[in-house]
Amino acid sequence: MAYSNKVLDHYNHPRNVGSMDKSDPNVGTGMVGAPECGDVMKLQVKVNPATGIIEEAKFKTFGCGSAIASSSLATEWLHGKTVDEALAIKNTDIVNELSLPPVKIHCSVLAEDAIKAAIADYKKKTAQNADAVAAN
Amino acid sequence: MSGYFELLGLPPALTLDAAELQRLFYERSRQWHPDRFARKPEEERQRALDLSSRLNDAYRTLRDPVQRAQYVLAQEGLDAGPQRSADVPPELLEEVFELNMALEELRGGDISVRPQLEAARASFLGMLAAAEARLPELFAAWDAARRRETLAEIRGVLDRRKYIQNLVNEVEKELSAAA
Amino acid sequence: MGNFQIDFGKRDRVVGIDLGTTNSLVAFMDLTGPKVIPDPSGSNLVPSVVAVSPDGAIVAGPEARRMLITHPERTVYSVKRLMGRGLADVGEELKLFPFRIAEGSESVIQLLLGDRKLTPPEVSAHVLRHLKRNAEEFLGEPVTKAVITVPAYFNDAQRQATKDAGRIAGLDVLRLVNEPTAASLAYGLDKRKDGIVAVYDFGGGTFDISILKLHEGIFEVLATNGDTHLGGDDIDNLLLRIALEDIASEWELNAPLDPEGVQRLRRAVIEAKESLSFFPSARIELEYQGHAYRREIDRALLEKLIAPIIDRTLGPCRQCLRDSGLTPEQIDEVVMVGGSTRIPMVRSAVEALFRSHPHTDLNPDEVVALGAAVQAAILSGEVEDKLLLDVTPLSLGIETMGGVVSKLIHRNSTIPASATESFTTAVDGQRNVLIHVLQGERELARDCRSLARFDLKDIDPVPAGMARIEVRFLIDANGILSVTAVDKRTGKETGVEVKPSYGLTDEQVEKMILESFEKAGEDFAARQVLEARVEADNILRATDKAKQNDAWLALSDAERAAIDRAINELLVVYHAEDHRLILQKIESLNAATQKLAETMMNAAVGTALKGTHI
Repeated sequence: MAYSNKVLDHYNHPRNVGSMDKSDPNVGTGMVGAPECGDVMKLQVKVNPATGIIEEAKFKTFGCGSAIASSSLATEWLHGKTVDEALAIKNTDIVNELSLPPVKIHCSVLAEDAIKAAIADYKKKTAQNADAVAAN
Repeated sequence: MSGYFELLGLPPALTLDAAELQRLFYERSRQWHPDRFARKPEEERQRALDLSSRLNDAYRTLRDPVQRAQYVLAQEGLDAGPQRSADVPPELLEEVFELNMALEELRGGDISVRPQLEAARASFLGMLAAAEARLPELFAAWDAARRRETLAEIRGVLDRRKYIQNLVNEVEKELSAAA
Repeated sequence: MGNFQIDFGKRDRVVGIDLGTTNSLVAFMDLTGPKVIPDPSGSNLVPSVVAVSPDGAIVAGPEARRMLITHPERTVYSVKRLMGRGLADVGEELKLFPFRIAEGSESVIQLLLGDRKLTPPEVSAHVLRHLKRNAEEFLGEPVTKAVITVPAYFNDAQRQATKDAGRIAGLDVLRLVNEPTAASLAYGLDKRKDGIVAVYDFGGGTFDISILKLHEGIFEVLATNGDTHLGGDDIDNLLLRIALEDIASEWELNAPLDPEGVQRLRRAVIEAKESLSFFPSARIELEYQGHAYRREIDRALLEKLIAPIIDRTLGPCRQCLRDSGLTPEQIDEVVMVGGSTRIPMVRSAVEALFRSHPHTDLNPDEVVALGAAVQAAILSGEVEDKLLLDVTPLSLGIETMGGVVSKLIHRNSTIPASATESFTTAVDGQRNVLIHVLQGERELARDCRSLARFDLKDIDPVPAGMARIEVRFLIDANGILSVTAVDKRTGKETGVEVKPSYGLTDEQVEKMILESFEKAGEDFAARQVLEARVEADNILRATDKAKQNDAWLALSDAERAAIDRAINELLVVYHAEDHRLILQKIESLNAATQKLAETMMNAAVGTALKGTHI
């Protein structure tokens, strides 16, 4: 298999590794896992409540190189996207960008799931906040 | 292509007798091994090679309880395609993530973290044994009633086991690096 | 005989060959069991040494070993350590061996001997040919089929190189069998003892450990481990380096000792090492070019020197125990194989690790060849109640993302073993997919051994990710990989082009077989002579018997004289190397005895008629 330098770069120098405050109302956290290989991935997004645009994305993945590269690429793509645009990211986009071999396709699925989970968490929080505001 | 149980002449059950499995494997090896076909025409030799390689795969898979369970899950369609994380309990993910973070803290440390690494290994091995100890009972339950809930439960145990196994591997890597 | 089920039908003879680092042996199975075939001088061990004599002829065996002293620059030994390897693998090693390497040895080493260039498989082929000739002479029949042993820890390229050597030597290699496994077969033959056995095989250049389960004639390998670069050679080199340092300071030489001197010294060092296995002290002595060197060495010093080497065998032993899931207490017996296991310190180290007294009753030099002969008899159908189930020593994987290896077949899997993997394309209309296959236990491709690059060709052009190529990796009973691919969309077999990373291509082997055609011609001639002699034996025996018959007396004096003359003429040419001459004299004797035969036949018929009538 031949890989582009970009892919190897994601693997060797993953971007946006780290974490943000989970309790921040503007931060959504997604924690997902791939049972067949035992990977765990935590992906977080920080959304500007005024614009709905993702201003920051962070991840921490324990797993193979493909899982790390997939989540690294995902965080890079999330920057500057609206929440709805982020939900449109598909695992096949990641597969194509990284030319993942079939044995590693589940890593891209994991990244897509992590995006969805993080945004679902953010939406849940804002809805709760809205409820809280409304209740006041 | 016939399945692993069929190849060995066994009923498809998760509980099986290791001695009987070995007996059947040896018996079939005597019939199918390429050594028995060295003087036969090319076509028959190729068939023997094919058959005995599948027999060996079958024996290797069935004699190990975890691989055997994975095989049956796949046969029952519970392993087809990538599993979504929705299938994994969130508490397990949190737990594994935290364990990994803790392990990462120890990583690259000097010789002084060795006792902590060893304690982590002992704890992980304990968790692994606890997970595996549940299998025989679940195997018997599946064999008796063949309910899909039982298979889902087995898969839950295998997933947990896999996560912990990864932690064991990581901690062992650290220990051998520190040695 | 007891344990064998013998079928007396006519079968092709299959011999067993131990192609060793230091010595090689050939063995066969007769009615009483496996036997080593001695060379014409009566020696069972043939030195694995090949030399190009000044007149350009290639010699192998004892003659080549003599040339190691007289023409060291034209002689090569321990070539097994170079099999299936490239220059980068053996650079360190070559500093200690006096071999000259030709340019362009990256993927296959080419040794310069005189003005000849030989690859390790070609060198080994000369040793094999020598063994083949010894066997043909001893058995009085052509030998074309063989089982050859290899270290259990040999990788795919090293195995392929051994198989190539057999082909170049004109042998149909029916099976490569792992040395420790072969040894277990010889061990388990008369013992007929079921249980768990470990085979510790420490030879001239390689180390193997295998753990087997013996059960009613099945020899199942549970795990194996080793080091294909560790053996008695390393001990020799250690001692040699010390002696060379001594000599450099004692003799006050301006230049390093010349190659002949080094080889003489090497011989002296080996003799000292060997005698230290039996005596508390030994002497290394060399008299050369007017100088004399003498050094006393005792066993304590030797043991201090070789302890690190022996230690290196223990790691693989522990890993092998772990992989088999056994504790030392569960091993019923440890069988010692290979010349280096004569060293008392090796025996005590093994005893300490396995906590039991090792089994040293078998001749450590011969047991592998004897086992190979048993495996040969299994393949020829002479032995039906035994079966070897061996394993692959190294995991097989493919390179994925970021140079990471994804394992497909794990080490210690029983062979034949297979794995199937799907591949797809990354670009629209892509026609090829390249797969890099590696062997080894490490996570990164760069730390594993590259086996080959497989190019899946002529894929049906479809959008990216749509193609589904199912690739089957199969490790056969020799431990050698083959790859087949099917395009699942079309159901057609996909072309697979193999680019081996190390070793000879099929074309190169074919060429070498052709180049050795002259030699093969010689072999063929030798075979024809052997066959003619067998035929001569038959007719001479029959004629001798006929002389006791009444019909002999019924012949005229002239007829009897003609027969005696024909017998004598055949006896005269019997030892000539020309089969046509022998056949011609057989023909003459046939003609001269025609009347005798007819008379005997008539008499026999007459007797029969008399018996039935009246």
